[in-house]
Amino acid sequence: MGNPAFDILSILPFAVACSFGMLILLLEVFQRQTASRSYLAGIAVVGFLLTAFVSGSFLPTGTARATFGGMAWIDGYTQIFTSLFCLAGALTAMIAPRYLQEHGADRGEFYALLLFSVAGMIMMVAAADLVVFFVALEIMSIAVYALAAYTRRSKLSSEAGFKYFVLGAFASAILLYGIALVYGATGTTNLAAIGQAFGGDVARGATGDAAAMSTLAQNAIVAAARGADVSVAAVIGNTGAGAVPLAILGATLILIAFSFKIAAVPFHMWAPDAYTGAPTPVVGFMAAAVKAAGVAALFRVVSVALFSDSFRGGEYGWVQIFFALALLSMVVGNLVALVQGNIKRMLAYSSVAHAGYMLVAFTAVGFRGGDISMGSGLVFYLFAYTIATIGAFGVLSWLGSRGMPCDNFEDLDGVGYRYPWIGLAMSIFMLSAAGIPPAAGFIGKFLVFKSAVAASAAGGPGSGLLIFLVVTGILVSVAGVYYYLRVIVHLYMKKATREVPEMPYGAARWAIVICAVLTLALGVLPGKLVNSSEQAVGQMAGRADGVYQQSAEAPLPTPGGIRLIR
Amino acid sequence: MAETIFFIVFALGALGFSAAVLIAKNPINSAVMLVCSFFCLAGIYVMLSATFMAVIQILVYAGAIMVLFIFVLMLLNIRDDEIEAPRLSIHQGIAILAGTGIFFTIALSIAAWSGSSSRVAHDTMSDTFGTVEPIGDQLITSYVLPFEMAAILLLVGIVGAVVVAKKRF
Amino acid sequence: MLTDILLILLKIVAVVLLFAMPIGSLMTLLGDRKQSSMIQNRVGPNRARLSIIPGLGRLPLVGIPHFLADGLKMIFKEDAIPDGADRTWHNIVPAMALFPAIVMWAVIPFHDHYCTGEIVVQNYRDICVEGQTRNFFSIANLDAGLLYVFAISGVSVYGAAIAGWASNAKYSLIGGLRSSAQMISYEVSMALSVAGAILIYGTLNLNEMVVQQGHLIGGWLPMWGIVVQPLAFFIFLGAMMAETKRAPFDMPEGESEIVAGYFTEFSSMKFAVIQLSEYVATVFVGALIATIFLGGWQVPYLYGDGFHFGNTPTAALELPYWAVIALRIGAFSFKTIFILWLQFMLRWTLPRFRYDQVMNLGWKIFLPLSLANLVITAFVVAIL
Repeated sequence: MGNPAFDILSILPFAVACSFGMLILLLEVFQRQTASRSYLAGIAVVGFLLTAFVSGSFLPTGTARATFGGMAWIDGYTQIFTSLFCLAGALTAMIAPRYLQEHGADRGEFYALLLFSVAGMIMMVAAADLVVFFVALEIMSIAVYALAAYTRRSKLSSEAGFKYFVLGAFASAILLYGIALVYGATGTTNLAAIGQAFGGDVARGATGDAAAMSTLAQNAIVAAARGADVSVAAVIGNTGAGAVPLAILGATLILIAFSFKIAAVPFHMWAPDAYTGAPTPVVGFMAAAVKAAGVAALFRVVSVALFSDSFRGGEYGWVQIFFALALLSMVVGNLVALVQGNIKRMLAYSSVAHAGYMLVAFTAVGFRGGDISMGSGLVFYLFAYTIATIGAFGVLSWLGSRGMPCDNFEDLDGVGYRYPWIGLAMSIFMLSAAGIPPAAGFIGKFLVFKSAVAASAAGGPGSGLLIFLVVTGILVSVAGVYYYLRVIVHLYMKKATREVPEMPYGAARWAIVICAVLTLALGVLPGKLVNSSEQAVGQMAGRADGVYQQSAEAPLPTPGGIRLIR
Repeated sequence: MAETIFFIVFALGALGFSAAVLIAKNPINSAVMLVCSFFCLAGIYVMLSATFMAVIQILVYAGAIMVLFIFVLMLLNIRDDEIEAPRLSIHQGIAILAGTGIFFTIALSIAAWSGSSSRVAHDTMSDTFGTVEPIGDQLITSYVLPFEMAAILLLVGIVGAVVVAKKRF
Repeated sequence: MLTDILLILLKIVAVVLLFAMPIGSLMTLLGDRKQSSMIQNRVGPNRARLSIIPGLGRLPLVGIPHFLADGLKMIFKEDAIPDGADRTWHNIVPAMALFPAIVMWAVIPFHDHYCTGEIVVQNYRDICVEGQTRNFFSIANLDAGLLYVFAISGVSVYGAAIAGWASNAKYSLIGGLRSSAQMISYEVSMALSVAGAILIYGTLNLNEMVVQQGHLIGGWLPMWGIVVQPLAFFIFLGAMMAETKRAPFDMPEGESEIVAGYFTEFSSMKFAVIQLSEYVATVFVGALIATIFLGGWQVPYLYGDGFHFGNTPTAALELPYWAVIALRIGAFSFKTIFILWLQFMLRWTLPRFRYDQVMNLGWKIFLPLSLANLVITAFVVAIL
């Protein structure tokens, strides 16, 4: 049996994050019950930075490779999101200590779970196989379930953790069912092989294009050799009669599960309660990093495995699904956020709306025949959104203390004068979320809507719908400006009613400042990130038309003795 | 011949017990019926030469997970008169519709398939198919990455459970 | 086809009715009654007589007539089902308890594959030159035999748990809960402690494990499980005793606290069947430990054609094949009974653990020890 060359270095970011998580668990064991754990946050930050560093430094830019027998892709796309997740994790680890000490939950497990969760996210984006993808998703999710219920004494936190857990587990089950159906239809769990089994190559092959057929065979062999134990002939043979409805059903279930994870309407029900109850630093992490991981992985899955015509266009392809999800999320998220009195709840609905904006990019990509360069705006959007969201929740957790949480709009009254820098930072985050220049959110929204307009410019049926989507998006985000500005009104135009206690931990303040500076910097000088996100998306490995398709690991192993197609 | 008889027994058993899981009023009855259904599934796995899968099915589901279910149900000790009579709500209607739809999609797909030439004949299968060795071999070669990641997953699960269940910080 | 089925039925009858059940009931009753009375310095059962059979009418026969009388008594007793009990489950449960205890015997090898012709001994293994009849001395020679045992022993929790629940009685319920908690806890260290042995023998097939235990370390020391995995032997013995809910782990039926635990409300043959299933499970523990740790059917230095001292091609003392088989099956029975005897000695000399002690022993002592054992074994196997 073949012995694939295990490229341990390629999963070093995952390994580093996990090792730091275990290191923190070990250190926690030898702690006295009463000792302060803040230094563990420092170790976690070091772990995140090291993870980002090894992710960036061990792969020459512009190259991509499949590792571990085609189980994961290490490419620019993985790298850029690894750095985003590490940034989010580090900022959360800086914000958390003060909050945890306030709430009597200062335990090292928090940082360990944070690191494990980020490790899961990294592998989720890198996954080239649905098995890896599912395990990574569970690593991320289970860690975040526990984090959401972390301050156990609070009933709200327990409720948040429980709701998040039950609905998340439900989504995982749906995802697994979808994966099983796709596997049943194609005989493989490898994303690239699924893409090829249903890809345009088959359609072209069916019309008698001999050259295309031979490429298909070649690609399928590469995919099969990458560890997908599948008979090539079986894939091609199976895609005929019965497989397509099965695969569409499976793909739909996978999309539903993703919609749960990124809280898109109508699968957003858990978000407001979970965001209201969970510890505030965790909410920032949940709203930002978990959603970013879900969107990033969904983008990879959709553009590698489900890009074919039978999924994308057709009568009920995912263009229509994403169109509906995006429209509903934007409208419902923004309108319901208008009437919220609780800031965390407002931000929850606003995150639903943001999911809608992100899905606009998906719709555009699908509309343009899977031209994924349309998705580069998405990467920028995720960066802007993540940083601003973590910053906003950082401000809330910094201002709140035990028994006196900063949950309602009134709690922010006058903070802008009492703490000018914090007020300024919060204003920047709100402007970014509302999409007002010069904050980064504006550029993100601009890029996403631009891609949709560009996609519709190509014409064809449905381009009017795309324009409709963009116009709706712009209209509801104008409505959204109301509730974001309401925060600023409370910050600066109301009289202070409460005193914020003295802050012993400076790290949280630094995290907020970093978020604010980054938000402004990305808004003023977006060029570099826009370029690298275009590069990352353009280089995404595994796609049938990708440049890097053939640069897989050198000697490919032959598939093992098991033949699962019967 | 014998194979057909066994298949009918196991298939009917799996279906019947699964239906009983849904119909049974008492949760403990449901749980035990589920265990019986797992046994029938394991029987079908054995007939498909997937002996390892069969044993793992019993070991993990019947022997570990369902025992915990029953343990918790017994701990709660719900009495028959505390169980409300089920009412047919709109959600159940939707669930029935969705379930029927999924069933017909899968059934039609399989029906369209059964004539296709891609099926591998039974006797071309290797002797060791479905036994421990080739599966173990696959786990530590082709699937080593998810296999090792599962270790992290279990660790995260344990740490998370302890964090949530701990009495005091 | 038909002969195959008949053969399997025959083997099932032989293993269950001629080996497991008789040893289970006879030996355990003798052990529970006579041996315990010896340990506790009393006489024990000696009044029942087999007066029907001429010549035996006056002999106490070490109490054996007692257990026949017990059986008779059980059959003629009234079957009482408490008010409010779940009648269906109450009737099914004894079968649920007995089923796993008997089914587990399917993979126990009583001897190697039967060689149809000449045997050559090579490297401590019998090589059948003219082919062999596989699967002759066990009901099923499963590839994943050990996993099968664990799977079935995991299922055996249901009998006790459901029995406690179906009786509609508080003591029974507590007994059922205790038994399921205890069995779940000890399953972990049970499986992990054998993992070291699995690493060493590189197989889950019980017969292959036994074959490998015929190896001689340094030409004289049999490579039995207890030699290469001494720690695992003790952990496994303890965990298995806890699995079968025998004293000192008999929390689920601690009579000083909860009468008889989960089978308090069972009477007549239903009670007898539950008891019998425990006894059969106890014998099975003996058989399994003999198989994994005491060389199974191996007799030291005895191979297919006779005794070999060292890795020699020719036997130092030749024996006919039938004698070898008889010796080996005898050895296996002896080992099984020895472990059984050991369990009874432990049962009657150690006081019952408290509940927290049982849990501490399982989770805080057995589990770390078996993990350490596994890690060390893995390193040693990797180095050698």
